[in-house]
Amino acid sequence: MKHLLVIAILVVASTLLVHTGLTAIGLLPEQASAQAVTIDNLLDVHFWLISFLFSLIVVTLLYSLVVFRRKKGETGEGVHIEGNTKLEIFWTMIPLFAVVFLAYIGAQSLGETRRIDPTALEVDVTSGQWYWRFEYPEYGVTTDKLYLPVDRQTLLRMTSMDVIHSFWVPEFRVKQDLVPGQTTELRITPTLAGEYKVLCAELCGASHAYMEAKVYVVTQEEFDAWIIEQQSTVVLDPVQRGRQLANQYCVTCHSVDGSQKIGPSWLGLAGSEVPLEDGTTIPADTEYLRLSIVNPNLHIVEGYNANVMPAFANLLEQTEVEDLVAYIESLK
Amino acid sequence: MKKFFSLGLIRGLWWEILGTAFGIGFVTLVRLLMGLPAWKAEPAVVFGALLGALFFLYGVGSLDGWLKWAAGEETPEHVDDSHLGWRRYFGASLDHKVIGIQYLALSLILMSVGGTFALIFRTELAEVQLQFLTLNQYNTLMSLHGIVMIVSILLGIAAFMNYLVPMLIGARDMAFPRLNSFSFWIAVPAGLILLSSLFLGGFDTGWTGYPPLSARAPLGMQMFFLGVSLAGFSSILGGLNIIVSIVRLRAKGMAPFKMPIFVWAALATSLISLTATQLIGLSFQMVMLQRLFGMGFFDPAKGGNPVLFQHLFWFYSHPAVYVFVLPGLGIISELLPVFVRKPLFGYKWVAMSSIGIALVGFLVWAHHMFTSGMAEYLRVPFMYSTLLVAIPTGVKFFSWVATCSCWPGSSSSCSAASPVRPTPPSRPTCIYTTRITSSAISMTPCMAVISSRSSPPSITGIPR
Ligand code: HEC
Ligand SMILES: [Cu+2]
Ligand SMILES: [Cu+2]
Repeated sequence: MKHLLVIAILVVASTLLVHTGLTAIGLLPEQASAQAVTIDNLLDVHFWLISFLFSLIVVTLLYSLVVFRRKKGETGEGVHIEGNTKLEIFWTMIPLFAVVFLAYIGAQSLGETRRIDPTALEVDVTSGQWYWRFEYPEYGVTTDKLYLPVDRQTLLRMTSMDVIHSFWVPEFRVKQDLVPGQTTELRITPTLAGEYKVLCAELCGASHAYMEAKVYVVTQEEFDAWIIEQQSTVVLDPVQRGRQLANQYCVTCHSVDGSQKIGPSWLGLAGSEVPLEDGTTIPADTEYLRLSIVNPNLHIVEGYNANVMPAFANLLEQTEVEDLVAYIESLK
Repeated sequence: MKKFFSLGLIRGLWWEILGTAFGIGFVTLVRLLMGLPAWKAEPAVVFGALLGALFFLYGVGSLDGWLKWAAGEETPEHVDDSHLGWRRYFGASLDHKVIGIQYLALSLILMSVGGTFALIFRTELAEVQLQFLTLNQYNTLMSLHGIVMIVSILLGIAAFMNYLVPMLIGARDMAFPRLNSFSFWIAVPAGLILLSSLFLGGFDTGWTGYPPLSARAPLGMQMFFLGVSLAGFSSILGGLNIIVSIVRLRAKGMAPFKMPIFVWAALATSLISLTATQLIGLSFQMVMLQRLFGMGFFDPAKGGNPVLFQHLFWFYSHPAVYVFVLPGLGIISELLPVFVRKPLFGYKWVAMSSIGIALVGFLVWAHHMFTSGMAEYLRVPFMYSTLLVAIPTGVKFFSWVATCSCWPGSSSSCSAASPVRPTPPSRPTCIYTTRITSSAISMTPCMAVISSRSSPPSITGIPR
C-alpha cells in the first residue's frame, strides 16, 4: 500500500511537470484561425493524456528499479507471479473507453473545423511547380498573394496543374492537398490580422522547399480597398505584364541573367539557334518560344530532360503566353 | 586470388553485370527489329536491371538446388558447408545461422550507407541556401536515405528472426532452407539497384514515390521502384518461411502458448510481411508500367486517380511500422524477465497483443491520407481504428511494468524469502535460464531444460 501511495503521488507530480514542459516549449505556432482553437484544444487533451501515461509507465518502472532492486546477500529469484487476468482485463477495458472517448471528441472537433458558413468568401487556388495562384471569382482578381478578411470564413477551392501539392499555413493549423484532376476544399476563418505564409506541405520536386506564398489577413475595409486597387491597376505594356507572369510562374526554373537553374536561362535566347536533345538546332523565333511554353515536350533543349517543365497550355490565357514571349524577346 | 573469384558473392556480381548488359542489349535489339529508334534508356535499363538481378541469383548459386531438381538430380536434405569456414558467409549457404549473420551484415552495411546520405544532406543544411549539392542531388539523397534505412531495418529484423527462431522452437533449421537462402540473396541485387539510382539521374519524390511526381521523375525513379519490388520478395518469402517453421517445426511438447515470447512477435511480424508487402510492390509496379507503357493508372488526364496509389502504398507501409517494432518489443519481453528474475507478467496477453497489433494494423492505413483528398467521411472510421492500436500496445507496456514491480511480494524486496523456490513454475521459464547459463552463440534448444526442470534453474550467470 505504501508503495502504491508513493507512486501515485510521484505520477501526479510528474504528469503536471511533463504537461507544463510540453506546453512551455512552444510546440505550436501562433493561433490565427477559429479552426486552430478547436484543434489546439483537442491537442491539449492529448498532451494531458500523454503526460499521464508517460509518467505512469516511467515512474513505476524507475521506482521498481530503485526500490525493488536486489539487495546485498539476496541470491534467490523474484516472487513467482505469472500474471493476473483481472488486471489484464482492467487495463484493456479502461484504455478502450478512453480511446473511444478520444475518437469521439476527435470526430466532434473535425466537424467543428468543417462547419460551413454560407456567406464565406470564395477563393480558387491553383498550384503548380512551383507557384501558387489565387483567384477571387466574385471580383475577377487574380494574384500570387492571398488576402483574407479577418473574422470571415474563406472557402478555398483548390486544384493542381501538375503534381500533388498541399496548402498549409501553420498558424491556421488546417491542411489540405491539391490533387491534379480533382477539386479539394478547405475552410478557414482567420481571427488574427497579420502576415503569414502558405508553405507547400507535399514533396513536389526539386524546388518544393521554396514553394511559398504570402498570406495577409486584413480588416474587411482594407480587404475591399485592396480589391479595388487590384481591379484598377491594368498594366498596358506587354513586356511589363510578361515580367509579372514570369516572376509568378517561371523564375524558379529560368534565370534572366544567364545563370543556371533547372531550365535554360532566357538571356539572349530570342533569335539564337537552340541546340536540341535530338542533335538538331532550331531558331528561337516567336513561334518556337510560344510552343516551348504551351507544349514544352515538343522540343527538348540539349542537356535538359523532358517532363521537367510543366505544360502551361491550360493555365495561361493565349494573351498571357504572348506577354511572356514578348518579355523573353526583350531579354537581349 | 582464385579463392576470391570463386566466392559466391563475387561470381554473383560478375553475373549481374553480364545480365544487365544482356538485358540492355536485348531491348535495344528488339527495338531495332521493330523499326523504332534503337536506343531508349528507360526500358533498356529497367529490363537490364531486372535480368541482372536474376543472373546474380544464378551466379551466387542460390538457384542451384531448384535447377538440379528441374534436371531430375538428387540434392541432399541437409548440406553441411562448415568446412568452408569464413567463406560460406559469402556464398549461398543453407544454414539459418549463417543466413542470419549474412542478413545482419547486409543490414549494417546498408544502414551505414543510408546514414552517410543523411550526414551529407544534414551538413548541407548547416547553412541556408545550397552550398555543395544541387536541388536534385539533395532530394535524391534525402529520398534514398529514407528507403535505404527502411530496407536495412527489414533486413535487420530478418537477421534476428532467422538466427533465433529455429533455435527458440528447437528446430534444426528453417522449414525451407533453399527459399531462405534465396530470400537473403535477392536483397543484395535489390540494394545494388536501389543505390544505382544515384547514378541514373536520382529521384526527387521521397521514399513514398507518390505519382504524378514519380511518373515524371528521372530514370533513377525506376531503379527505386525496381529495387524495392525485389526487396519485397525477400520480405514475403522470409515471412512465409518463418510462419511455416513456427507452425510445423516446434519441438515436441511445445504447445503454442509455451513458445518463447519472441517467437510470437516473429509470427505476428511474418504474418504482416507475408500478406501486406504485395501491396507496395503492386503500387510501385503500376507506376513503373505507367512510365514504361503509358498505362494511365494514376494519370488524371487518362482517367486515373493519384489518390488510389496512396491507398495501395499505405496498405503496406503502415503495417510495415509494426514489422519494425514488434520484434523489438518481443526482444524486450524476452530480456526483461531475465533481469527482473521473474516470469513475464501475463505471457498469454503479451503474446496475443502482438497478434492484435498486427491485425488492427491492417485497418488503419488511411491515417496517412487525412489531407489527401480522399472521401472526407473516411477520416472518422480510420481515426477510430488507429486509436484502437493503443489497446494491445498498452497491454504490452502495462505487463512490462507489472513484470518489474512486485506488489504482492515481501515488503521491500522483490526476491523470494528463500533462495530455493518451493514450487516449480507451471509454464516453462526455460528460455531465460538457457539464455543465462550458456553463451549466446551456443544457445541450446529449449527442450533440454524443459525436460530437466526438476531442480529449480539457477541464475548465477546474471552479471551483478
Ligand atoms: C519546373 C521548372 C520549369 C518551370 C516552372 C518553367 N520551365 Fe521552361 N523549361 C524548363 C526546362 C527544364 C526546359 C528545357 C527542356 C525543354 O525544352 O523542355 C525549359 C525550356 C523552356 C523554354 C525553351 C528554352 C530554350 O532555351 O530554348 C522556354 C521558352 C520556356 N521554358 C519558357 C517557360 C515559361 C514562359 C515558363 C513560365 C510560364 C516556364 N518556362 C516555366 C523548366 C521549367
Ligand atoms: Cu508543392
Ligand atoms: Cu501509419
